Amino acid sequence: MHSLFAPLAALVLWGFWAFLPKLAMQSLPPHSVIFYEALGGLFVTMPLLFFIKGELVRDKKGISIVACGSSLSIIAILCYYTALRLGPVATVSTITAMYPVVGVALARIFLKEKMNRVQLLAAVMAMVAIYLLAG
Amino acid sequence: MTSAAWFLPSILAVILWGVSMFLPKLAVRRLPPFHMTIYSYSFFLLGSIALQAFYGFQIGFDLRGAALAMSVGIIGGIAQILYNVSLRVSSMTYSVVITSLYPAVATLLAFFILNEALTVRQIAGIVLGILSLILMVKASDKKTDDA
Repeated sequence: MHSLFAPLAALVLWGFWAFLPKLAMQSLPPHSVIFYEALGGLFVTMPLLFFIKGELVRDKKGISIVACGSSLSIIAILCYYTALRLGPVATVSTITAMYPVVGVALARIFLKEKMNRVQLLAAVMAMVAIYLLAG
Repeated sequence: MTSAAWFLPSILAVILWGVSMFLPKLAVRRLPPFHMTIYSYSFFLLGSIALQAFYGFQIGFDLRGAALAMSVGIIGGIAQILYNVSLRVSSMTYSVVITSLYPAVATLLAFFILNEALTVRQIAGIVLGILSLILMVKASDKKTDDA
């Protein structure tokens, strides 16, 4: 059973998420934007904490995986900014936009997720779309 | 400037982002989506503070810029919850492919809000993105085979 609402809503919100920093960076440097972005995240996490009455599940392995993902994400942002500083924006943004390929490949290797031919065609079309949008 | 100078960090960003999209699928088996989001943003806040330390805590302030950046955090947080929920109920491939099309939304926002011109290439990307999304949704109800 695949639900379309959650990924589609995430897609639209991430569109705003990708667009708004462009406006914020008109008056603030990138590292400050990241800081205020993290502060803004508190407006989501605090109500969530209240909602679950502060009773966080303390699964060490799960928390370690999340910590690892967050750390990698910040390092990835720094790598991206470094690449942007050293190289052509169009090429760098086109190459880095291909990260979903890594995610899909990892799902295939470690989670044994398989795609039917139409799904594979859809994934390839999505990557071409991202390539066209990033260029 | 050598090509290697920007190529290496670009490839590193691709790999690290790809892995950071994959790890929540493992975590969501052990933590509920809300809890994952709280942990994720807590670590993101800690990481951003470490980043400020690297820049000597020179945090600029501009009301409009700060408000916009905080909106990014709020919107990103809600998007993260929805992505985690999606990972819980769907395959990772399905969630990643659909959400990866967000540059199309950003491009349309830039067109409507900033009046940035749309190139033929971008229009083709948006149309192809919508088609791939429809195809992915239609195809996901079919039985998978080893493609």
